[in-house]
Amino acid sequence: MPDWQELVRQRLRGMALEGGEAEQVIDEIAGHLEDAYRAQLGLGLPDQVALRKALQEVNDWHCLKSEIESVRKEESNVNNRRNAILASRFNHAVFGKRAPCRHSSVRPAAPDLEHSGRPDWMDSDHDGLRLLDNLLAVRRRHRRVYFKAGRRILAHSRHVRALPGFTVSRFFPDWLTVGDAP
Amino acid sequence: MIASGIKRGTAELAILSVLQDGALHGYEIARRIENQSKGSLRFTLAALYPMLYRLEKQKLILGLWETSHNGRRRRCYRLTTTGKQRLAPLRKQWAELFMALHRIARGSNA
Repeated sequence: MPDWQELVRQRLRGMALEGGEAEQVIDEIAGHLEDAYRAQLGLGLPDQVALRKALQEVNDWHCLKSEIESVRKEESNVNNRRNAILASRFNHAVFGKRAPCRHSSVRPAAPDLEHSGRPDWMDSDHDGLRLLDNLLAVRRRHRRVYFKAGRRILAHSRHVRALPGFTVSRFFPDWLTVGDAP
Repeated sequence: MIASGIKRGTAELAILSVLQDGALHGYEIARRIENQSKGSLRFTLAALYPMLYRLEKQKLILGLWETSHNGRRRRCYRLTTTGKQRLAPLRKQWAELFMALHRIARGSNA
């Protein structure tokens, strides 16, 4: 009996999927080939012929690999878009206006508070931390950055908003660097 | 044998249809389609699994790992409620297409 998992792993080597996902795909394809092999043996075919016929189930390994990568990447792009939307909503909640954020790796432009007026989060009754908690779908390390940055802004807002020519990007140069969080 | 371009378009209908009778794993899905189409439709792994993952992403099917009595792990796919709802209009669309093509073919032969 061939080691189907090793055989599939060799042929799909370099598949651009995250660790656990790649192993699941390998397990599934290996299971399929093993079933095909057993079915051929059940028909009374010799081992080598059964092996060859089972491998014929995959006519093009490169095509299989690229098709699976393509499907999984679509999924990943959807997740990136969702994260970008959440980051944009966060900006909207904190700054009081929607900041451009087309992709999670792009640093959104911080609006100038002098021109955008008084944001909601500066109100004394505004629960800024609750808004931060709503960003559950954002990856944990990103959420930590938001939380930290949000607390810094809340702590300094009373002092800095009185300064002439204040901009968020000047005081918080690392603010909302979504793709490059430490 | 039906050309691969046409088969690709029918894969969604074929997979959803065979899963209507119950949960199946990838190999069983491929064999069921081959047997029920009397050998006319035969999907290679490169066509079958990306399509299964795509349908799962669309929440039309759901894949769950199960361990059989002999200890082998297999990912079984079952039709979701959304998949069942999708199947009826899909069948209707394909039936209309086949009828239209049949009429065209019959007309051009006449």
